Amino acid sequence: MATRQEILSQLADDHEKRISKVLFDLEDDIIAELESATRQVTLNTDLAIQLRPNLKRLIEENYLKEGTRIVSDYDKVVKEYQNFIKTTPIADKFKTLTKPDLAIINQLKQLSFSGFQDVANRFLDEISTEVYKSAIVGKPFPDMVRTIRGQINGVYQRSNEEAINRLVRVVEENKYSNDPAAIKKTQDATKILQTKYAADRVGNNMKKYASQIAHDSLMQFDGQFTKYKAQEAGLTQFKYVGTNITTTREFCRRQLDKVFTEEEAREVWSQSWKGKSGGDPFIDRGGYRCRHSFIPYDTAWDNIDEVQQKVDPKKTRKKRVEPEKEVKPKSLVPDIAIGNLLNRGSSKVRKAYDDDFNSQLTDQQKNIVNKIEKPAIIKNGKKGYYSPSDNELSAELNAINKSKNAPDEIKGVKSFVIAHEYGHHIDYVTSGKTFRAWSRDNEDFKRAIQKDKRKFKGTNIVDGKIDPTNSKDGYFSINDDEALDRIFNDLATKIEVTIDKGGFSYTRKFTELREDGYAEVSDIIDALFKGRFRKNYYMWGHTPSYWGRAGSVEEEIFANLFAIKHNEKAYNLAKKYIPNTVKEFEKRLIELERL
Amino acid sequence: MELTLEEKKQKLAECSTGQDFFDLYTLIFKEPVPETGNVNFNDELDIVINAIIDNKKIPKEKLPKIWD
Repeated sequence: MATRQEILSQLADDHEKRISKVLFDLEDDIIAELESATRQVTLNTDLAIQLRPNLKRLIEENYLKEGTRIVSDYDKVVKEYQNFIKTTPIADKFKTLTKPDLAIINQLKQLSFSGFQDVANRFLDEISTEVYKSAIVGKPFPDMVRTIRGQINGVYQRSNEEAINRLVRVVEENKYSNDPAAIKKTQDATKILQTKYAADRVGNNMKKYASQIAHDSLMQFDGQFTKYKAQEAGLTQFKYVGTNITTTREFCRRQLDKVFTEEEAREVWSQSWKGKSGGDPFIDRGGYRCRHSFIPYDTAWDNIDEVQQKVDPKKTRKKRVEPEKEVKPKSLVPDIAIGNLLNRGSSKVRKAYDDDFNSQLTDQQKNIVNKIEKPAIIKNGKKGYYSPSDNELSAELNAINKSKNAPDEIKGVKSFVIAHEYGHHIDYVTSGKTFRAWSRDNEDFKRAIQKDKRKFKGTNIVDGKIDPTNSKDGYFSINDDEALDRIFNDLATKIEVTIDKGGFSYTRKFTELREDGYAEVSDIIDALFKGRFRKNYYMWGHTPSYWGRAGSVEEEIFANLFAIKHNEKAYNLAKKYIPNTVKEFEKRLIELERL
Repeated sequence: MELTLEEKKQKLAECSTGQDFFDLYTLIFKEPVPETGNVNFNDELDIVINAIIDNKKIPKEKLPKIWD
């Protein structure tokens, strides 16, 4: 059984296909009309003016006629809304259509049709003007025909070459599919067509606008009708629904399946993102050609199977067979107390500090921490640091990695800063040297980092010169933006926001980390890339000058691995990026455990 | 040459990358952005933008050797 959303999507595709077909017919009819009118006489300005009503008629007969049929199809949207709402436990009187509802539906349909009319009027003007201008300047007939074909169908215009027409058919047959092979075929064919028409490519063609109107009108009708009916029933929450496909906007991806009040939705939708078409969440959703929509919702309906079948049957089925969540076995090693070392704080804070710290450690790490002398002072400070000379550590309790001024919808993730700073402490006090970290001097650990760095693209420097042989000696400088792009996508997403402040207006990006501990992974990557990951990708790390200090790369990598050892997802990513270093780190943990 | 308020607004609106904001800071205050001790670049950028808007240099902080 298709969901309401799937039916909406199919309807949108069907409407676009139908519009696409009538535009090919329109193109043929207009060219035939022009050929017929100029068979006996040469095109002149009088004839051009006389042709305008004929062009108008052809647009009405082809495009607007189909537009009328499409808009009458919107009754299916109403029907789907009713199919959904009848599964919910709202009062029956809100599940049927009333007389005022029918009036509203008609008004909304008229509004939608006016969008089709606007496109028709605009392109009637453009095509008529082209005919008139051609008459004035004596433009050769084939050139005028080609321009008009371009005005209607852009690069997808009809051609005398069968090879070109075949490419257009490939696009038409595959463009509505989500199958990767079909997407590739469409992209390849479009690319060739664009090359073919590069010299006289018409960007703002009727096909582009008409297809968009066909798609967006349907979704806007759905959004407005849904909102109206929800309001009538006194429903105040809405769920943003739909599916994720490769071209789904990052904004939609983040909002999908979330439940909002109207006020919350309007707040979230007030930000900027690429492809945004307007600020009304119910009408504009993610922007042009967005396939997502709002449904009235109540979180109490989460457990009603009939509702879920209409919202997302896959999830319903999954929910039924899902095994019980595995409960993490309780640690066998007693918790370690460090809260008592805090320079200040109530007993409650000290206890919370202990809990937070112990939640950031594996049993093996607890055993290690237990064996080694503790710092002299611990501070519950906003800024994390470790001072070897004072044997002092500062780390915030329950720290969250989220930018201070980031928009509300960016969620924060856990930062394992206490374990990180404690990692520095372990690294320093177990080195056997005064104020010197083990990681800084251990040859195997350092070599492992160098080996892992060489997995990336970069340049090997020996004695201040580029070493084309890429020998294992020398300093390896990474220069691999492709790898950074991939790693960024593993770790985070980015949103762009326009901010008005103190009379200034600017646009900036904010990063949202995907999971707990990913700031620590980011810092590891930033160490390898000497601060470029942090600065160029708005990530977590240190400055180039910090990475310039001898030992900083090794020490931070050690501390970060110590911080994420207990977190499977983050640690697995570290293993993926720096496998050799992780091996050496694990060897060190075994050594420390045996101390 | 000092930027007028309008020029500053214009230039801030034109910033796109993190480096653009840092360069504008340098242009206004004739010195590079000092170390702020923020591991999160997003927070550091906030400080830089606020300094530009408020027309107040970022105070230089003495940072610990190993921060965060």
